[in-house]
Amino acid sequence: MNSKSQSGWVLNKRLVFSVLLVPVALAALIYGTIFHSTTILAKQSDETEDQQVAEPASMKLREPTIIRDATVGGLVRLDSGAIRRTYSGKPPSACPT
Amino acid sequence: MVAMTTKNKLQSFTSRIVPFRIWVQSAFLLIWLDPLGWRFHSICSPVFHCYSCPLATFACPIGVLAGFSALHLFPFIVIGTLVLIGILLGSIVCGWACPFGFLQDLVAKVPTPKFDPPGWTGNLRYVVLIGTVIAVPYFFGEGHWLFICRFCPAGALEAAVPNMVGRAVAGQKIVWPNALKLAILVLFLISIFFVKRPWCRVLCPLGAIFSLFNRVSAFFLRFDADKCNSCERCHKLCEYGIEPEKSPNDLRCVRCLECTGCSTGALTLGGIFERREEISVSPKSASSHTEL
Repeated sequence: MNSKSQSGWVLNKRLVFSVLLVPVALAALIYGTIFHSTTILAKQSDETEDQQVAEPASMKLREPTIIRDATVGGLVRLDSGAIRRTYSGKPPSACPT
Repeated sequence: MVAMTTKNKLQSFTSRIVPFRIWVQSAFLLIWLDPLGWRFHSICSPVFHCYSCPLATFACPIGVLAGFSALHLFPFIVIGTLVLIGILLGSIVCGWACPFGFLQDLVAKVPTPKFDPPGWTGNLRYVVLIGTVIAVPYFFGEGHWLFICRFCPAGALEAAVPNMVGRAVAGQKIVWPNALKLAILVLFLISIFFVKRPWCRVLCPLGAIFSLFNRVSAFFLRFDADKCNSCERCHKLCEYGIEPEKSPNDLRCVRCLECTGCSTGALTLGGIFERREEISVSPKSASSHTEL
């Protein structure tokens, strides 16, 4: 393969990668934003029993909400593999680290 | 192939905008620093800027990657954002939009002796990415001391310090960051005076991700060997110890594009969107282009 065709191959390689990866990235973005959700356990309330009843035991959160919660340390993975919210009501203002 | 001596549109645009890079970085800073108080923390930015900063418009992609890894969730939005930006621009984001890189660029203007870290240290970025962003969070959770956010200097500088000052001003009890975070912050603050972009070159996990796209991204640096007169001016223009004529799309390159200031025009920004006839090549030089 001479240098000219090698240069063309490099350009084509970039074109191929772009054509393949841009739709994959867009699909991941759309899926994550609109469709992807995860079941999260609500915070175990140590308040009165009435409040515990008022709060659902688990909820489905979409990925954008999970991102926002992750930024404030609002979610934790339990030993059982389930994910639990660390707060109820107003989220913390900053991450715990 | 038609010989052309004039610059194409992309090259003209590059040569016009490179002298104003600091202003472009300043403009991006306005986007990341949330001047309107939007706090879109459900959206990831493509830059290294701590979401716990009182001034942060978007979520930090590295913090979210690590957080999702700790939760054993696949981060579709972050991966989609980083792949999309990476495949289009490569590490142009690092050189032109990242606020943490901008801070280091500004401090680098202080006239102190500068040292280049050995080239191999750039590989530490991948160790940080795989180790502290993916593996440690996945296996040990976010409580581990090697969880990226627990020692990240951006978090210390942009979030911990402002929060400490805020609490002190409000007369509340000051919450000190952990010793490792403080030590790395001090080391970082000293090193930025003596090494250009030490975080980006040696440890940045986000730079590690974008660098992987440098060799396949839609925009890239093109080297025309026939225009090069081996003056090695590009070596002086490159602030990161790269020899652009040998490896124009090096993994360590942050694509500041300063090397395109080469007077012979041997180094130019190229893109897959250029038409073939737009690419400025002589019949001879068509056989001597380097993009890798």
